[in-house]
Amino acid sequence: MSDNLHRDSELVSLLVDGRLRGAQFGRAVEHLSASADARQAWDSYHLIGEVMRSGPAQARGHDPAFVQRLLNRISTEATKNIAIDALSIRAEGQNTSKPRAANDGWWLRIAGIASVALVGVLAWQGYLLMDQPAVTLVSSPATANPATAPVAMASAEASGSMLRDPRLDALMAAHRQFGGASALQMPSGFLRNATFDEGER
Amino acid sequence: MSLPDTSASGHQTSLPDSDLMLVERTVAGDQAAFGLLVIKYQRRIERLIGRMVRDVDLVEDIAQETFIRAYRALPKFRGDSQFYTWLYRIAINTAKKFLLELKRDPTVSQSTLERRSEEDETFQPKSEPSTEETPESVLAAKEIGQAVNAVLDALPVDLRQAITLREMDGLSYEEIAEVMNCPVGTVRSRIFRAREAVSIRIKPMLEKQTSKRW
Repeated sequence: MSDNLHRDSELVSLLVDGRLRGAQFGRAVEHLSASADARQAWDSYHLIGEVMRSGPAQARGHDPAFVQRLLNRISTEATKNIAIDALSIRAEGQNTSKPRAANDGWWLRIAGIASVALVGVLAWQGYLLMDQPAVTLVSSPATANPATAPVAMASAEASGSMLRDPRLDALMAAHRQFGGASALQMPSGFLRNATFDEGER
Repeated sequence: MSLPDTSASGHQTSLPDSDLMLVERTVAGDQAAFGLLVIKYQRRIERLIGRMVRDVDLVEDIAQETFIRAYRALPKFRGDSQFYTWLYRIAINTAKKFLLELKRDPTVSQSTLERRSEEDETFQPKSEPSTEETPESVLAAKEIGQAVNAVLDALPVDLRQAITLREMDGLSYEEIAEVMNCPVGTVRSRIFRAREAVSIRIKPMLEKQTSKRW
């Protein structure tokens, strides 16, 4: 055995025992990758240990064809993965140039903020209206200014009060032709009553 | 090429696990490093699967799938456990999945399988022949095993003692040097010479075994 070969084989023996690190480890792995004899030694050295520990019944060498098939599969898989990665990178690049869709997160956030703002405005308006005495309920029209103040009148037919606004009455009197029955010839609720009431007053 | 200094002056006390280093090298893109792990563990993995599956064709398929799965999952391997322990679990799960998919019953019961999972690779089935075992292959394996033992028996005492302390007792080079009262470099040399003596003897037998596989 030549000196170099001897040293290489000894390197393999040291690798089997986990005695190498750094550059020496790398050199041993490269040597094993390049040399079938070194791989044979790697296998044999492990086999010797297994036979010593487990007995002679299981003394089999590794199957180089098995290893080769496996490495081929791994290579093929790695190539496929590289191709898939390249496709996904390209697709991501296309996504950045797309216009924003209506269901895009950015638009959803804007819509949410707008909704909250709207609710806030409505709540504020409601609060302001509650503070103002907008309608004065009175039992007699004599106590209020008939020209400007709305009047609450007790309806003979209904149990509750009905709000009457003199300005509305005047408006309806001026546009009497729009009153009366609806197009379906059905009572039109407040407007119909208001029209008839107007005639009786 | 100079060999690393493992003499007393270059005492290596906290050596990293070589399996872990091979894993790291594989993850970095060196597939040949993974090939070394496959060579190292193929025998044990096929033996393990052979205890679960009688189908000769399935054993190799499952072993291939085991190593492929292990390769894919290697970036997740952090070295918290021994590499073989991790690989062992993958092999068991892969074999179970195969059997489930093929709707075949395992040759051993679940309880037996669990019990065996707790055992190490030294477990030897006495009554169940391995899937690859034909009378010829059994004989070949036996001959190789006997040759290993014969060469070891014929070694000089210091060589035999060094490799026995290493392989059987699992001592480090430093511990062996202490036991044998010699430098670590001498231990290194003795272990290598013992291995080489056996390797030269069994090499033609292993080549014959490989050629008969196909």
